[in-house]
Amino acid sequence: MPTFAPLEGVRVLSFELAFSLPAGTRALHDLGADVVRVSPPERRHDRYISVIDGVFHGKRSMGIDLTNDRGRTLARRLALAADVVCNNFRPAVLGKYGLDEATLRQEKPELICLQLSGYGTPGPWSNYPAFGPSTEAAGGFNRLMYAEDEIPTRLNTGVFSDQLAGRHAALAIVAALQRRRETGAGAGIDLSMTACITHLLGENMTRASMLAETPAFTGNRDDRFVPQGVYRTAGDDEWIAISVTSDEAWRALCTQLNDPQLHPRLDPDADRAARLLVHDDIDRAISEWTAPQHKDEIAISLQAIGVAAAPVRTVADAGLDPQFAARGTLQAVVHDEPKMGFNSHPHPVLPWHIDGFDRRQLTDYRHTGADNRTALADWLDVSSSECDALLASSALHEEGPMSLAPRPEGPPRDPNFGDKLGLR
Amino acid sequence: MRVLQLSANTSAAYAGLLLREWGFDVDHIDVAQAFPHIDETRQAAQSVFMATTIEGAGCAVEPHDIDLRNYDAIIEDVGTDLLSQLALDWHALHKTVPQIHLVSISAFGMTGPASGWQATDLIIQAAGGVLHVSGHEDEAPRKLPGETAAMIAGVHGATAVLAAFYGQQTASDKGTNAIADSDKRNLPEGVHIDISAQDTLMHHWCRHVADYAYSGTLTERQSRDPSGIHTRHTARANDGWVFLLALGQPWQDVAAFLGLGEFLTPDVMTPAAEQPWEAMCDAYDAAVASRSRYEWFADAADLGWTFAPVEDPWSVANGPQTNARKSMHDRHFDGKPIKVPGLPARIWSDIRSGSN
Repeated sequence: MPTFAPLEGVRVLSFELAFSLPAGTRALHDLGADVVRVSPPERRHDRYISVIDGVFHGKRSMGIDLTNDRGRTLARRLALAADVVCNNFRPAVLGKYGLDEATLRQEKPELICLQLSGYGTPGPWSNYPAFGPSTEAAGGFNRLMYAEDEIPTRLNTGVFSDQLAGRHAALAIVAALQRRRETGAGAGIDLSMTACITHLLGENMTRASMLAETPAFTGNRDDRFVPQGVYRTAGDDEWIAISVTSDEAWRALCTQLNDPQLHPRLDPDADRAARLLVHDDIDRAISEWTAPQHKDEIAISLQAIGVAAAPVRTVADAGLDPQFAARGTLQAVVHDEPKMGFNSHPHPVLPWHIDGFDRRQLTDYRHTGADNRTALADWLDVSSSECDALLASSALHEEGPMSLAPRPEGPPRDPNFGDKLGLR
Repeated sequence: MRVLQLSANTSAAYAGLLLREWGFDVDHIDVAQAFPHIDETRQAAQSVFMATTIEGAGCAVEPHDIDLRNYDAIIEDVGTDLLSQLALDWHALHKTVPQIHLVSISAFGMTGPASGWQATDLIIQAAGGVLHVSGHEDEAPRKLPGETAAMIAGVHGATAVLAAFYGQQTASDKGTNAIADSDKRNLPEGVHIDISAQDTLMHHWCRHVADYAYSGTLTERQSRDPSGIHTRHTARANDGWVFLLALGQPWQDVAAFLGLGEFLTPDVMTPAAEQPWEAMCDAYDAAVASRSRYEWFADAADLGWTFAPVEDPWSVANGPQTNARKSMHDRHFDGKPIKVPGLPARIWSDIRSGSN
């Protein structure tokens, strides 16, 4: 089958760090764009995280020293040869090197320039540093995750907000490309990670404005779906989510619960309002029923009788989910040399199925500077000897192949992960 | 580009909203919602937010009035049964108008053993996996607010519509009549894109799934009280909660910044020492509570640290950054002014002397 590559021919130059913009440009790569990421030499980075995140995969990698005159000139030439130039440095940074949107678009008005930052510009927080979880806090997400009398909680994933902002960056760039095709005009785009979070909360934000107060915390419950909850199952920290979306589904669930004599308040004919009054009792009955069973078996049996249910996937079993497997959600990325003892590892690919097309094959992480020569040759027709001179002058740099080691501190580890995932 | 939005759930409605906000024409067919809100205010809030439009763009159309030749793409989340009833299923649609694109969003996608499964947002969050790391370790995983999974799928839906159309148009411009990079097909033909909300959510915790695959690391939910000298990431300032994180910074710098100098003793700093969070937590809480969340935020930023205020919706809507960026729409509801989130991006096509 042909490969789905609607952005084939689009050149993206990305000055990127960490996860947010890399996630966005990875999405552009998945859609066929030629993405060249530029890493400055002074930037510390965690090699292990850079590799496992997967957001640098597939892209070409250049190492350019922007503090070097020849490096800056080279970066500018690349920028002017691109269709899209983007960065997620703090907003003032690229201006120091003459690579900001205003300067570049003076020379090439049809260029699309995107700046992604924690809080966006303008504003008093514009140059404050941000990390995904801090934008979740500032954007209103965390406040909706806890009750008034609780110590606030948050997501324990460092990349939720980053991925969201990356997806908005990809959307913004494709929208700007389409606009350029229609009008010939380029664009400047300023994207705020925090505002992406706030937009995700649109209904809650709007309701708060209508009520002049924060909507009450409802936890896992929803007055449309009674009962709804997350219930413990067999195994260590294993859970199942169940939502009853109709009276019919409630009656079906009641046929599965243990001895109804033990739960006299579970009336199969109770309507949603009546069930809401005894939600705690219902939760107890469901928990008793789910506790000794395997989460996948419960989900299959409940779905078979029309009850919405799904196992709560963990880091250890997400890679084994049969639906992910059937849809090819994770793709084995083959390494040139084994990494962490295995020849390949799974990474998520473009999460869309396109009838009649394959998704673009994901290739492994490229160390910084690995594509200096090919990118310069393809974009600027720079010869190999010119590259040698640029390397000699330190305008270009190359990190060299690297070995990986996990972070020394952190959560517990499962020594049998390789066998469980079938890694080779 | 003109798009027809056919939505019974949040995902296609949100995709339509994003496309309208980005300036594209989106008409919509009003389909009975699969799960309407029971609370009238929630229902109204959803309608007001989703109906936010660039002035003059988009209108409601009746199913029997659809002239498919007017559209470049359809974005839908109504499912195959209703699509077939409207003769809009992919095979019928593609036969009738070969150049139109169809982007379908569903909980689990249109293929695979779970493709027919029933779902709400909680179910997708569970199956997508992010739910497992949400909340505290001593309680059940906690649902992410709102219809997070559906809306993330909506961002993908909007991108898919634009990407498919852009690829088709540029292929046509080039005269290749193809949007594939090989095996050129007779185009411009449309494509059918099947988006699974479960699949899209996987990307939002992919670091942790990969961390397990590379090293067996088991990421779990937060503990309520930290161990060792690690501190709570959220503590109460004198005007609300503040998120505190100084990534990669040594404890002594953080302790000095917070005014916890009394804990900078050899006993505490020796790696082998039994670290005294229990002894320190009261002093920690008192230190954080001595200043406002905005003071902590600003002073930490000066050091390059990523503290942040834990904002409630009102604070977000009326905060200095939001106001400076004009990122909320001013609307009216029941005669009262309200604020509704606008696009998280500012875009301009003119060439300016400085964007900041």
